[in-house]
Amino acid sequence: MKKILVLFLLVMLLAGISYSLYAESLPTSMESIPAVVESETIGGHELPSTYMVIPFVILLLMIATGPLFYHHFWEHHYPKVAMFLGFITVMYYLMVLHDTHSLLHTLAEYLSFIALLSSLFFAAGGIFINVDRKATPVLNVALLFFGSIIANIIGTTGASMLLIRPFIKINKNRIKPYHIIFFIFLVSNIGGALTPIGDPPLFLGFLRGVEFFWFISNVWYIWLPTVLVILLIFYFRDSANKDGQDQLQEYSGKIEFKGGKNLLYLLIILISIFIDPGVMSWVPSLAPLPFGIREIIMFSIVVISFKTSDKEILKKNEFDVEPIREVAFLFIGIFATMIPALQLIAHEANILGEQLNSGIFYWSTGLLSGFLDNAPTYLNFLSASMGKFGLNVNDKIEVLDFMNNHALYLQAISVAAVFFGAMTYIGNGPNFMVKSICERAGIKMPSFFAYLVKYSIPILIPVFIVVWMVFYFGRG
Amino acid sequence: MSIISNLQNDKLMGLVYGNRIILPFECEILKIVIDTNILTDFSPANRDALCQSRHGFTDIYFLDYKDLPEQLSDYELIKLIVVERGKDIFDFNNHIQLGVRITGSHTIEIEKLPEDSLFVE
Repeated sequence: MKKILVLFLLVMLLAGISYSLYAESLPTSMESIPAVVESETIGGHELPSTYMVIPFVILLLMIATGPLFYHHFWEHHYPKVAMFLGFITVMYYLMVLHDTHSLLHTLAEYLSFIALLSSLFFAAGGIFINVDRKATPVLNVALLFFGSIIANIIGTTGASMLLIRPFIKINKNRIKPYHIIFFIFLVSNIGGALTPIGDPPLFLGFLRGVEFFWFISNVWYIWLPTVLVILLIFYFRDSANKDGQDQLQEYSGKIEFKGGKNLLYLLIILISIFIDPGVMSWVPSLAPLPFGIREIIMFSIVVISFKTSDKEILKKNEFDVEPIREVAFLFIGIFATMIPALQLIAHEANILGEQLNSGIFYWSTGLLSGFLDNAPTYLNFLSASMGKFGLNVNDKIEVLDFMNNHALYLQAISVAAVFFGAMTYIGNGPNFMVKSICERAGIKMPSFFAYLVKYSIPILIPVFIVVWMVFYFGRG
Repeated sequence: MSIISNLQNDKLMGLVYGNRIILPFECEILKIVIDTNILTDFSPANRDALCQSRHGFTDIYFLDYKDLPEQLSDYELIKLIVVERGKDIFDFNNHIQLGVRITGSHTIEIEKLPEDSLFVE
C-alpha cells in the first residue's frame, strides 16, 4: 500500500513539474484567451465533465456507509478505495483535460494539509495532561470553552489532540457520545474562527492578504454568542446525565502536565506556519515542487517528535499512528476527487456572482464546507465573492480593498467555512482523528448519518440559522 | 487460582500466534477494543472475534486480522474487560480492565490497566 501511495504522489508530482516547465514556454497573458472560451474554462483549462463528480460522491457515500454496512471490507480496503477513486480523477485530468496545473495545486494543498495535521498530531501525542477532578457539567463547560479559545492559538487540530484525552478521562465514569460530539463542534471546529492559525481556510485567506487580526475583530461578536449557545445546550444535556454519581472516588484536584519538550515542537510548528513566501518575502519558494520550507519543517517535526518523545508518555497516551494514517489515506482520495466538484462550483459561483448576496455566500460556503474540505471551498467562494465586485483574489491589494469595503461578505464566508466544518466527520481534519481516538478508548461513536441526524442537524443548523438571520438575512 | 485479581504491578506473559492470543487464565470476556473496533458480540455467528475458555487458559481469535504482531504497533494495546472464571459476573467490582501488549513475535504482556487509563467500560 505504501508503494501505491508513493506512486500516486509521484505521478502527481512529476505531472506538475513537467507542466510547470512546459508552461514557462507558453505566453503568460490570459488576455489572448477569447472571452467565450474563458466562460467555459477554469484557469485557462477546460471545465471537467459533471460526471467527474461521481468518484467524489461514491467516496463520500462509502465513507458514510462503509463502517455501517460492510465494515469488514471497509476496514481492510478503504486506503485502496480512496486511492483508486482519486486515481480516476487524476487520470482524467492528465489524459482528457491535460490539466496538470490543477493536480499540482491540489497536491500542494494536500501536502500542506497533512504536514500541519501530522506534525500537530505527533507533537501533541507526546504531551500528557491529567486533570484529577470530579467531572461536572460546569467543569466540562469550562474545558470546552478553554479548548475553543486555545484552538485559536495552537489550531483546532493541536487543541483537539491536546485536550481530547483529558476530557475523556475526566468523564470516564459518565461519558456518552454527546460529550465527544460537542467537543468536535467547539474545540475541533467553531472555536478556531478567530485567528488564521485556528482553521486552515482562514490561514488561506491570511496568505492571500487578509490582515491577521481582521478575523478576531470582525468575527468575535458572532463567535462568542455561538460558542455560548452551544455550551448552554451542552450544559443542559450534561446536567441530565446522572451516570457515575454513585462513584465514591476521591480526587486530588491536581492538574498534571508532562512533555514540555513537545510544547517546544508545537511552538516550532506554529512559527513555521508563517514561513511562507507569501508572508515573509525572504523565504525561498521551492516551486515547481508542490511543497515549501514550511512543509519540510513540519515533516521534520513529525520524525523528531516520534523519535524523541518520552516513551512512557506515548504509552500512557496509547499513541498510535493509525488515526493519522486513516486521515492521510481518506483525504488523499477526498482532495483528488473533489477537484472537479470545486471547479464546477467556482465556475457557477463566478457566473452567478452578481445575484449572490452575503446570505447565499454564507449558506453555500457553509453547506459545502461540511462535506468538502473547508479550505479550498473557502478560497473558491472568496474568489467568487470578490469577482462580484470586480476584484481579483490573487492581488493582495484587491484583497485588502475587499476586506475593508465588503467586510460582510468576507465575514460570511469565513464564519461559514469554519462553523460548518463541524457538520460531519469529514468537514475538518481533526473531526476524524478525535473519533478514532475515542473509539480506541472504547467509546462507541455515532455513524456518519447518526452524527448528522442526531446531532448536527438538530443542534447546529438551528444555531446557524439564527446566525444567518441576525447577521446576513436581507443584508448585502 | 485467582491470577488476575491478584495482579497488581506485575505483568503476565501470554502468547500470540497470527490472529490468536492466548491468555494464561480462564475468564469470561465482556468487551474488547482493538484498533477502533469495539467488540461486545461474542456469539458464534459473530465474525469479529471468537473466544474460548479452556482448562487453564483463554483463546481469542481476532477473525478480522491475519497477523497481530505485524498489524498492531508497539504502543497499541488490546483492551479487555474480563471476569475471572468462578467470580460473580454481575458484580461490577469483579470486572477487570486488562491491557494486552504484543512484545515479540509470539509473546504478549498482560497488565491491569491503571485507573486513569483511556478506557471506558
